Amino acid sequence: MNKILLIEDDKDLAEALEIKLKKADFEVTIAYNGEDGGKIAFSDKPDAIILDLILPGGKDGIDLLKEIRADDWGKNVPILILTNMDDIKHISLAVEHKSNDYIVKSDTTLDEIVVRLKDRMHI
Amino acid sequence: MDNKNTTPLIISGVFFAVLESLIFTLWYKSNYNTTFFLLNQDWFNSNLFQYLTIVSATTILFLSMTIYLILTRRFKVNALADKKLKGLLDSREMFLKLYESAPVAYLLVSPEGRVHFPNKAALRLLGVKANELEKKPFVDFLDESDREHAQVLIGRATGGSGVSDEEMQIVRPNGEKRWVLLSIFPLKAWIGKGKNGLINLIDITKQKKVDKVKTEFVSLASHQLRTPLSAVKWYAELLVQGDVGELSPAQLRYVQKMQDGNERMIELVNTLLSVSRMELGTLVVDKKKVEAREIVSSVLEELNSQISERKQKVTLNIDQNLPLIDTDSKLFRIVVQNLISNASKYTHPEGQITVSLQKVQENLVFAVVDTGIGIPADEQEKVFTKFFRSSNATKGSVDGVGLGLYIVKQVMEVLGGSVSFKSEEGSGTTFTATLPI
Repeated sequence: MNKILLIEDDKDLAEALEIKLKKADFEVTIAYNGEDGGKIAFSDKPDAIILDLILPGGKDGIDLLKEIRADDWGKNVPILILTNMDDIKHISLAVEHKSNDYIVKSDTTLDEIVVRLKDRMHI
Repeated sequence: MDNKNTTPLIISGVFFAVLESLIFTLWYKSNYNTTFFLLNQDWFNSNLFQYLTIVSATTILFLSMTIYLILTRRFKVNALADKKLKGLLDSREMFLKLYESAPVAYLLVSPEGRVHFPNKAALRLLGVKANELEKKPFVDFLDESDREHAQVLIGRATGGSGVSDEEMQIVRPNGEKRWVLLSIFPLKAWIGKGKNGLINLIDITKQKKVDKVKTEFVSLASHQLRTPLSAVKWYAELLVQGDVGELSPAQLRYVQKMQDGNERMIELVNTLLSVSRMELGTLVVDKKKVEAREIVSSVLEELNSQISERKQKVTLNIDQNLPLIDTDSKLFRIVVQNLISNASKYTHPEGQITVSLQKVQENLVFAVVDTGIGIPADEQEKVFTKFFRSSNATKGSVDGVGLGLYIVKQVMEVLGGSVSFKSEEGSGTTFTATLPI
């Protein structure tokens, strides 16, 4: 079973997506802030990460993306940005730091997120 | 008064004096038939004495008149010169007062970039006293990141080409930074040789702050409004798809209605965000070679359920050999989507919509013709304004917020194209969007 790390501070959104991901046979771990997300990412080494950009605490999504990409393991792990920030500044930063996809939550159904996740994981 | 003005007077004065002497000599000779220089005659009673007296008197008269004319003219010219000089001095004084007290910062720079004659506004803006600024390099008052560029601009301006509205940051001696719009106008040398530059600085720090706050608000609103909308969207999806248990047919129908309402709200938020970005100038245009036909087909597919529900007939008139166009596909899609969706919304059920895409000269022309309610003639000039809704659309209870056509116009301008329309109330409307290929 593929392991997915979902880093999302909104508990309601995280729960809805977790239901859908589990239905699609993924093993899901949720982190509600950037600090925890970073720790879990490096300890669990998931097969893919779904990452929100605006996160509480000292570490936001772009910080985490940079941190993970700087690590040997993290270089190739699929990271999908899942956010409601669709301004050019955030999109450019995500592209610059090599995210594999950029998904705007309110414009995307849960089914579409699963399809795009599988596509980025080549499964 | 110069020589050019007096010389003709002197010449004419002398000329008339000589002419008068010659005429009088001839007359004298013909009347008295006598020889000059008969010294044995009584000199004072001689004709020669009378002759010389008359010649001298008339010559003196003519020469006096000439001198009088010259002098009066000289006085007049002197008075005129005085008046002109006074006018010049007045203008200079007025200019200096205006320059000194202008609310906009002005200063001069030499070709080497040194500051001269800063006005009061410049001293206030730069936060210095006159003696702290005079003859100092102008770039020393700029943020380090702007100095090199500013030096190039000064060189360009003092070489003869003006520079306008360059955004830069100045740094005051207390470390405070201010945003300015820098313009430099080439000026004939006031100082040294070569050309100087007249620098004009406009403080735009406030506008920058307002822009930043607006951008941040838009960004924040986008996040804050979209998060609850995303939650409704995703939970409704779980319910409708039975991921958390089956719903009764009635429950399913109601949840679907919630879903539809939520989608409309998401669309509205997206529209408002697009408008804010356009107004802030933060809308990014990403031009690539695009197949316009594909964009139109995909929009028609997306709007298929709306059009079918209203039993409207769509006729396509698409040139099959259209070249690729160099445009931003997402932005062009917004135009196509809005115009076709509007045609459907404002056309009665079973009405006719014609969508055409043609190459006309070097342009791509996208047109949507409908047989809808049309736009009243007296409201047509407001069609592309923000929140415009025609009176017949509002009466007919057609959903909308009046931003679609405003966005279409803005987007077409951003893409370098244009949009126009023809409409007759009760008969229909044709919208035409033209893009250069």
